[in-house]
Amino acid sequence: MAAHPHGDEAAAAARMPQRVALLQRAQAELERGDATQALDDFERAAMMLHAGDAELGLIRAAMQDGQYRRALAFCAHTAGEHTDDAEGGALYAWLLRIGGQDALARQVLADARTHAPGDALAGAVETAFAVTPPIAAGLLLQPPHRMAPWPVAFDGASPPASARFVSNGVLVDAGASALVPLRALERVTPARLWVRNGLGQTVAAELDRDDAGSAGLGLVRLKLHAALPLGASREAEGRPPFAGSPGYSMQFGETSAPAWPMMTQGFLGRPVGDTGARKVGFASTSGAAVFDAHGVLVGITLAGANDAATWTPLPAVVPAQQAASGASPARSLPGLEAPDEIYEVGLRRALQVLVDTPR
Amino acid sequence: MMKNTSFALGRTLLAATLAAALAGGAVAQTVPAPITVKIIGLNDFHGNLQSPGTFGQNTIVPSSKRPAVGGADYIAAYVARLKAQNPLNAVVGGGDFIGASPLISALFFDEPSVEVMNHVGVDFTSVGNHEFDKGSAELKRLQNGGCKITNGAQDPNSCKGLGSKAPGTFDGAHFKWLSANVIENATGRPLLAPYGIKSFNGVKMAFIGMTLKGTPGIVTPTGVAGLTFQDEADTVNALVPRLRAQGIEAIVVLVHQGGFQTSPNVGDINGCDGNLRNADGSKSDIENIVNRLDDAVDLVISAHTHAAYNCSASTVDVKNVGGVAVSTARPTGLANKAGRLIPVTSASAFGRMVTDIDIQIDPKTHDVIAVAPTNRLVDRTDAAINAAIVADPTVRNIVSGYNALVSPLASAVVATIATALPNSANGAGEMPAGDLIADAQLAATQPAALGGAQIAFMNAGGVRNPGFAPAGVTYPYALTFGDAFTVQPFGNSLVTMTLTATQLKALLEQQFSGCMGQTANRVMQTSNGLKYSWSASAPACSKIIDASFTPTDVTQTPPVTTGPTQIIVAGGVVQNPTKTYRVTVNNFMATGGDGFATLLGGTNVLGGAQDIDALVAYLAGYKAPNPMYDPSQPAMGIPRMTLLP
Repeated sequence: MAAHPHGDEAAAAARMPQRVALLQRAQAELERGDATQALDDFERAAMMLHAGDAELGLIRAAMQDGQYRRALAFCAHTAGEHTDDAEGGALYAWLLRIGGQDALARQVLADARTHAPGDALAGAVETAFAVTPPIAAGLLLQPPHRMAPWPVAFDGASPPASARFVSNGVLVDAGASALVPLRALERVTPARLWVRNGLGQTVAAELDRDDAGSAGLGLVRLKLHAALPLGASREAEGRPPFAGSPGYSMQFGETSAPAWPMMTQGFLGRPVGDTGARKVGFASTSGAAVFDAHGVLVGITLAGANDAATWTPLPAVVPAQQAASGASPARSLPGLEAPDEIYEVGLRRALQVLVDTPR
Repeated sequence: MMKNTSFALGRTLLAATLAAALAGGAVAQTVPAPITVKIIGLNDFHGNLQSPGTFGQNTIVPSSKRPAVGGADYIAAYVARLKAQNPLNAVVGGGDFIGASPLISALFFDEPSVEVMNHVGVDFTSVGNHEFDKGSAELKRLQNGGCKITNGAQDPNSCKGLGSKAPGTFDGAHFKWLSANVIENATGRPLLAPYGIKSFNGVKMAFIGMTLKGTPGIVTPTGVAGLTFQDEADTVNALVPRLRAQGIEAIVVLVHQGGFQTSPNVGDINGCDGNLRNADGSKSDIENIVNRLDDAVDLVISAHTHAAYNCSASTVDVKNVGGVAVSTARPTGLANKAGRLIPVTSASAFGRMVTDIDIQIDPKTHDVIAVAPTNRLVDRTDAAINAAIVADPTVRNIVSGYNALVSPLASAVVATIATALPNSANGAGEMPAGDLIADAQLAATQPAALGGAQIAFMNAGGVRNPGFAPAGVTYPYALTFGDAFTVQPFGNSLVTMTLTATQLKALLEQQFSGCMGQTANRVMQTSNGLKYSWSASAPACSKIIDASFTPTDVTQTPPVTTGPTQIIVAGGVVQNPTKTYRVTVNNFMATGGDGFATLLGGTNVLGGAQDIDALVAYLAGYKAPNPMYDPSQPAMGIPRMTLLP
């Protein structure tokens, strides 16, 4: 590509008022959650001049739209192309980190900091990386450099500023319900509940008092006031993944702000006693969505005895009529999928659970 | 060079020639038909082995209607389709095939991109600025092949070889990177070949490749140390006499420099809005180059800006009339030094599209008569293209393989192996890697709830990398998930079934050519506990002399014998024909793959884990602090096959 020095880009951009207006419109569309229109307008701006501003907008619009793979691939290019501005490298590092490519993320960030030693954004990303999962706050939530989705009130109801994060959860039942670790909600007396996915889509929820089966497994089911979209995500059918096979989990950090979840990965473990729970062979937070090597949602993590993480296979907790459908002893799926494909699926499955407790 | 001074004139002459030919008589017999050559151009691929998303023909197409585009497998299929239309063809690039690339290519030093472009069949590409991201020595390695050396040793992410001749190798580019204007200061010569030549029915066509002279200003200084980047037009003009001296009149320039379409239209991929002038009306970088080109140049395939345009006899102006695209032909081009309009194209970036260019050449004068370019989206919704990929999944498989190796899990250690495993079978057909895999598959299906298997067979052809570890490593070796995946990349699942002793003997006989339709010797790899001998000289279907089974629990480390040995075959005779055994194979074999039709007669069939999962789970038993995997341990029961005269 076109690697124009940044000064040239800025000068060229200033000569193109149509492009400037297009970028402003695209940014406004992105901030109100209209990812489709924002993608369209950022793309048109990118066709008029090869510059980092439109590309960074395209990447964030792709993330808002749930297109992690597209965002990651494009950001690889932007980070490698516009090296005179650390933002591309900082965003690429963030996307790599949340996608489970920790070592590469740190290498990309170090490169970006070398090119722009005093860059505040890259510095803020480095500070955020000290925590797992990294949490975007302060500068990292400011437009246009935001490292998080913009909130979208899916059923028209936004949580108040006083709402706080209590747990991770997993979207199930074709998007109509969420499963949440029982222990997380035992500690609070929620007046109101919301869940929010990795696209910033937020919906009010309430306890499913008809669900008697989940409690015995250490879970509680929430009914959502409006179903959240699942995308191409699939749920487990039949036999759970083989012990020793690769697995992934998706979880949010402890923040009530909209966020992109973080993925961790390793190998799924063997059953623990006769509870149905199984070991998790990698770092994971209670309530995280667990995926197999093909991006199929297979379970949810729980904090077990002595807080040792375990995960519960999904067929044990989905409604019986769904678990029975299409059960097959054979798992004849295609080969291992890359982390970015799994992550894209997980953006819609992993949930932040927010509560507003009475004062 | 193009003989005529304009496209219109070119067409007029062609029409006159054809008219003369149609008039018959002596004239028709002496005027040979023009040679049509197809040039397929692509640029700024940037290692996008997978789809970069959607893209529209123009901005009128709503986002929701834009097809998913690109991906190396689709590029390969589209190029194959175009090549099939004309055997006289060349596939060329405008640079930046590599660099600033997604992880699936970048993690492996862009070797995957080079490998897939080899399979696409690229002939020549210019270098782009990003070809210099890692320096000229690395570019030469990608051109010539060989593994990346990091800190004095082969880098573990180099030479995966999924698209090269063999695992553990990297072929290098089969195509030529051209760098006419990049001079090595030490030698005063071009870093790489300045041009390439292809001959079509005896007529030569030259392709001159260059990057923008401003490259040093936009890449890391160490990447271009010791190199000088010369003026693009001056470089071409200096080469023209040399090419003409070789009888070459058809000259194509591949240059990593470009422009943008500007208002007032809608950026159609076959448009040339504003004739690529900058928004303020000034000349674009590419126009400045073309304006100074010798009249001998017939076509410029440009790049660098990631823009799509087609400034040629085939240009269309597309306007948005009430949401409908209205096209008007507007033949154009960019003026060269002589004022002649030269066709200039660019195919966006990331493999979104290819430029399909038909060139007509006068076979007598070797002059180019006409150039007709069309930018075509690499549309992933095309049914025929999808069918072609299914029919030849070579490139798709390469991409899938690298996709799996991108995972950080690929570097996770899953076991330690004590000694090198040979890369080939012994005389009896046994290979230690096959023994290991068969044992893993038995272990995964041995528990009663998972199949109750007693014996497992693995087809030898399914062992992709019998050596397991990369070449040149030292032992004991910490085997990674990526290593294991390279051995078992096919995503097969396990199938356990019941066979009688008679069927078991038949299955063993069916390994050898001439028995029950088997067309070649396909010796299966067997699990611990099964031993047999076979005679090379015995007739087909009578080769198995003795076979025995000793129940062995391979879920324990090391394996443990759990019962007395049973004789299945003695002196070629089945001892207890109706006795049954639970046997595990992969789903490929279970459905008669590799000619093992006997397996179609198995009963009580049960599906199981994936082969790679079974392998990793089994290997975990040999991961520290457990003892390492050592095939020479007596408990492994190796050898399991004996070859008799």
